[in-house]
Amino acid sequence: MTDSIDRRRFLKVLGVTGAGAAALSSCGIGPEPTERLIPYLVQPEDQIPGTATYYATTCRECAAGCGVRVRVREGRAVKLEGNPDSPINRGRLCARGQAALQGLYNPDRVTHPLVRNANGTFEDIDWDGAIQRLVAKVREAQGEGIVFLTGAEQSTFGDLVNEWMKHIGGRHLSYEPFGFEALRAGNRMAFGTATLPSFDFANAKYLMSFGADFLDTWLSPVEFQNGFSQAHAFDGGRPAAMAKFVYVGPRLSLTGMNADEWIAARPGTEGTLALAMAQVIMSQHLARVPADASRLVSVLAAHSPRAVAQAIGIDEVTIVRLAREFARSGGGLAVAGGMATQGANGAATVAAVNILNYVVGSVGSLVKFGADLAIGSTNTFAELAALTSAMADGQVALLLVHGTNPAHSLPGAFQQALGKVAYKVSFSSYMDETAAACDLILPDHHPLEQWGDSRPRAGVTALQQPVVQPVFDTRPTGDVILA
Amino acid sequence: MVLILALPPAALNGQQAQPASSRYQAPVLSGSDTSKLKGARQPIFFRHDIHAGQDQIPCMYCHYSASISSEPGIPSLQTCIGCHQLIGGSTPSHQAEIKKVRDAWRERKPPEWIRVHALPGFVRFPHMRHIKALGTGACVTCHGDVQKQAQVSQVSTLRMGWCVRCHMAQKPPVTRDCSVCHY
Repeated sequence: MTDSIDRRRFLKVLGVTGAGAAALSSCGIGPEPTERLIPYLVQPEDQIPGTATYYATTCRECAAGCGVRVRVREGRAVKLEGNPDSPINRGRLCARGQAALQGLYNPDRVTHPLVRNANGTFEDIDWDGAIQRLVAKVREAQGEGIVFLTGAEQSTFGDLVNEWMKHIGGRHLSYEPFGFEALRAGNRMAFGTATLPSFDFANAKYLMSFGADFLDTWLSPVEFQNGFSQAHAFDGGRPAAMAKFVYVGPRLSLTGMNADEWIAARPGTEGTLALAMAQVIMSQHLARVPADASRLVSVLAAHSPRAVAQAIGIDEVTIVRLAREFARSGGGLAVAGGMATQGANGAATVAAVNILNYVVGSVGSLVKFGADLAIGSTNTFAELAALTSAMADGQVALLLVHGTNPAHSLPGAFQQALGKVAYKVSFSSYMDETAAACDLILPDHHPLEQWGDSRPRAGVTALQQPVVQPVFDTRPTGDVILA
Repeated sequence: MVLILALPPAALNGQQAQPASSRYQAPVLSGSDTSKLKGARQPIFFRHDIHAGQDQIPCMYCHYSASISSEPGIPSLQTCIGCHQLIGGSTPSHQAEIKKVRDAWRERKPPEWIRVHALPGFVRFPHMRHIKALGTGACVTCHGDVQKQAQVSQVSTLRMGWCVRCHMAQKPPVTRDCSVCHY
């Protein structure tokens, strides 16, 4: 790059070659002289050239665990579609799932194992050498602190990591940037359980979202999109269909734009609005309130619409109207998330929305706990902060990272603490911020290249099978651990 | 027994089916002859005139997917080796070319054939529909007398007017709807 091609010269060269290529290719239908046909050595029996084969597997782009069918032409995955038999996504697939192919054939993938040499740069290493080094480092670090950090892994692979860590005296932590911690904390405040419930959008008769962008990306977007389109349809096969959808939030997101009404409550007061609505429902006996809800009366007393209207920035009449509509629909579902749960009072907002669901009797019918969503299984930010300080204090001798990029998504303290860890191993497919700071990179297969499974929620186990031969010289991390 | 079953049917009973005199005899070509042939020079000098003409192996023996798929399929190297692990060639030049096939098989490196017939990406030509309508001997309609070509070259223009003329000449005429081919 030192012998300079300036911009003007670059454009000149580009123009000439571009015109040349265009002139060559436009002069006829004839074959390009360089086009090659490379036959199979041995043709797989189930392959007919020109005819696609379809494989059913599980999307691993997020923790929702949607079923997919992959169209494979001559050994190459070319298209993903939702699997109609999957209880999660019922034949649909989101943009992120569609983009899995971009990850599979990404030229920036780590194509083979890399190890940091004495100069501090990465050099190639073969798999046998890399695994020997890993074994030596694990032996060395035993008793000195070993931590395996993964993404949300409710799967056999997660179990394997758990077992292995137990066996060698290490710890298994999981981390996702979108771990929905406010949601879990708010559920603990209201119900004493820090898990994530399932939401039945399809059977709701009145929907209120307090900042939760469930049509964009929230817990299990494809499932919720399906449910919403059923609940919000003109004729859902039910009398008085077309549930009204009210969006509460400061910004009109994609989900908000699909709402019938937008309530721009002042940021941070979404929970107050939920409590005011609950207060109206309780005091005016608008719904069959559960018996033990009487305990809430004193809590709610301070949140009458008149008292809080000014703080929320929504007039009293509107609050009362929303409460009436919500309660009288006989199937009100309120969800909290997104921006409403990002502030300091995020957990309180979630707890307030839980109370609103509770007073209309939706908890247990439309909001079901016990679903045990995989995304809710990760460790909390506080535990990650504890890990960061343990690393900074030199209590971690060996850190193994798989399927998450904490150096990018956690505060800078993590990256600094990473320098104090004696040996760091990454199983990343990409040279991300965490992998770049590691000493050994053992690239994992892409999910479309390997066997696996996923338990996205209680009662659903999704199997995952390879649909293509591995594109690069990678190895499934489970096999590396077993080796 | 297994080997006999694996041989193409025409190679087995072709001699009884037809008198020897009517069989096409592929010419013996010297090095200077081959340089004059039309078409691209392939990495292995595969002679369609010997295989399909003289030995009367049906097109569908190697290009078997033409009747079931949009693509005719370039035969896998396994198909070549199926016969050529026994058939070594009668002349030194044949033996040299067959050795290339065997070497490729041993080194697990399939030959990179040069494409002769190609359509632009916006046109679809489903082979199986044409074979179904015109029969398994209809390859010559578009590809010419490949049975007599020592080196395959393109004989038809494969342009749209040429396609449409044939569609119109059929009885009853085949549709000219744009979306039949451009979809």
